[in-house]
Amino acid sequence: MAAYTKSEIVSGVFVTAAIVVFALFSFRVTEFDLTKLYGPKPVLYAAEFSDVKGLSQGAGVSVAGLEVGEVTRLEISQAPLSENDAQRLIETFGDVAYSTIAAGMTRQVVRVEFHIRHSELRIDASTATVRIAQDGFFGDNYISLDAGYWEEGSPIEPTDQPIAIRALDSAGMVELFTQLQPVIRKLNSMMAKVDHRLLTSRNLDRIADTISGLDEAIADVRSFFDKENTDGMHQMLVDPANKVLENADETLTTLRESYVNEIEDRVKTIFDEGSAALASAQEVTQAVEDLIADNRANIDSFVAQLNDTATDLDGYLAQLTAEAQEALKLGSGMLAENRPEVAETIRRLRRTMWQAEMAMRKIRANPAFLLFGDSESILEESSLDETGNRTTGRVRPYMQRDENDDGG
Amino acid sequence: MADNRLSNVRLCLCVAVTALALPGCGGGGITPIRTHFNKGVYLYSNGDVEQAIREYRLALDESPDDYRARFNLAIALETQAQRKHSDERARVVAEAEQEYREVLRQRPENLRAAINLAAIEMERGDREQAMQRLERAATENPRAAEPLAAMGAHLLADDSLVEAEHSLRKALQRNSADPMANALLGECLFRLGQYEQAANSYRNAIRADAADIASLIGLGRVELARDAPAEAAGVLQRALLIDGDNCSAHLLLADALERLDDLEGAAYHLWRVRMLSDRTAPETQSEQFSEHLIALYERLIERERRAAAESLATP
Repeated sequence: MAAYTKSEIVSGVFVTAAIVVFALFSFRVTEFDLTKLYGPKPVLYAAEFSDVKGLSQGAGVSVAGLEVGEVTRLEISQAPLSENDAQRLIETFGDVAYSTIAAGMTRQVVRVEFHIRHSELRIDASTATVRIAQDGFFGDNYISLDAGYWEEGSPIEPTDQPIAIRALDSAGMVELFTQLQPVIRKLNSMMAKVDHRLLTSRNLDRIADTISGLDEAIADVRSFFDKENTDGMHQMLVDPANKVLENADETLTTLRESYVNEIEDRVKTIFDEGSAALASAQEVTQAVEDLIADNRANIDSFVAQLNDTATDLDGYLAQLTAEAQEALKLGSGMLAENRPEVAETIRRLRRTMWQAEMAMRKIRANPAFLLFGDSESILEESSLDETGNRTTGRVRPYMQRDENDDGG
Repeated sequence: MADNRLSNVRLCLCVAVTALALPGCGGGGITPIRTHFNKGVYLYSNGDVEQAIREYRLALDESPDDYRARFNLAIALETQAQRKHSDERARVVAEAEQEYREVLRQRPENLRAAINLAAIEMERGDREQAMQRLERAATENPRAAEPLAAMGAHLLADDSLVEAEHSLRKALQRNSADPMANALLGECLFRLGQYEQAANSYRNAIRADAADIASLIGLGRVELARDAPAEAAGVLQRALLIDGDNCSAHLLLADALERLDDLEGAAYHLWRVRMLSDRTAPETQSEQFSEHLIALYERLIERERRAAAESLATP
């Protein structure tokens, strides 16, 4: 056995370390996961797409946005057409192609195989679906995997690999536009109708006229606010208002000066004089109070006499009231017994008063009446017998009125 | 001295001018003493209907908006129509109706015109329209008794006494002192034979207006029906104090005095009625009236003969 020297051992260790570091560096650069060599074996799945949209080998497989695998192989294959696929093709391209297409017919597909690295990820093959998605408008295509659903606690059925998974329509922008195709077709039809019924030349002319009218109206409104327009708001409202405000401002200034120069002094004078008058009044009041205090006894005596006199007067008044009431009772009785005569007397008294008033009017109108008298008779209405009117349901005529009444 | 004379002349001139100016102070600018309207009322109340119509028309010429003058003109035209023949009467009534309608056009709320217009419609045969007008007036004027009183009058004229009483009592609920409603209720109760209540109604009307001749006469008639000739005589004499030429009052008073055995008074009042014009007292031309007057004078003659015989017999 050869004996190694110390320097040879160190050199050997150093070289070994360098190789290891280089290997690790190489794995790091290539992103090679060493654990894969020792981890569980990836599960292989397969799906058939009618259009892979440029999907390439090595493209990622994501579940809920998390990359869990990659595409391992793409190959062309054939598969029967499903009911849904046939319907979709007819709806989308029925007016251009596929007019005789039917479910069950064979079509060309691309079989995509991919494996999932995460063995703990459970995928229910019967309900799972895959679709080709695009990472943004300009990103790469990838496979988006929906792992499906299952009962809690249900066992995982062993399946031969690659496990077939149902492929759905792509979720890219192109597919989106394809789904919008019927909607777009309908919109086109509606727009054609709109164009035919609404956007006629006549309506467009009307719209043009309306817009031109609006333009003119807007121009008129603008000119109304134009300062140079003699009929505008500035000339009619703002400038006069400004003038009024200027005049008001001058008036206020004048008033303020007048107040400061003249009125304020006068007010002060008035206050001073008022204060002096108040002081005089207070002096007088005090003098009166002193006088009253000096004569209090006499005043009390006088008030007492007044009270006695008032008491006597109350007695007299009560007596008079009683006598008056007695007389009124007698009078009331007499009136009740002699009411017709009283009424007649009152009527004659009223007539006499009316005659006196008429005489005074005549004198005022013509003083010669005093000397030569008047030949005109009193024209006072007589009482009417209303029997005829009442029995026929009629009301009486209006009576004579005051000569000063305007007859309204 | 010349100065004194001059001053005296000036003084006399001033006095003379003042004396002359005094009469001129009156007249223009002072309220006229008598207006056409008041003259018209005076003339109508004294029976001069034509002159009253003339005065009312003059009042309307001065003031076309004077609804009172127009209303009174319509009433005067209706009174004039009663004195005309049938053809002329229809024309004048139509003219009166036109005036009532003009009053209502100027014053739609005027009750008097509505009531009198309803009366014309009733007499023309438009009973339903007349009643509707009165009901409308009663509804629009919940405090006025006249529309219901007028309805009562029309029901009385149709001899619907119970309905008339009901309407008149409703009118009195609105205004217990309404003379028209009280007087018509008195008439209604008199016809129903309820003399005491009829007398009370008439007295209520008289209490509201002591110069209500129609109510005084009605009360007199009720008192006679109650066989109270003395009370009737008192009431009717009061009516004659107000209107000495009222033939109805004279006739009833003559009846009352005859029951009181005051044959001279009865004869006087009957003769008074005979002296009044034919238009106001057509009953004085009837044969029955003449026979009554003759019988009365015969009783007077018999009494005088008996009195003369007794005076001769006594020593």
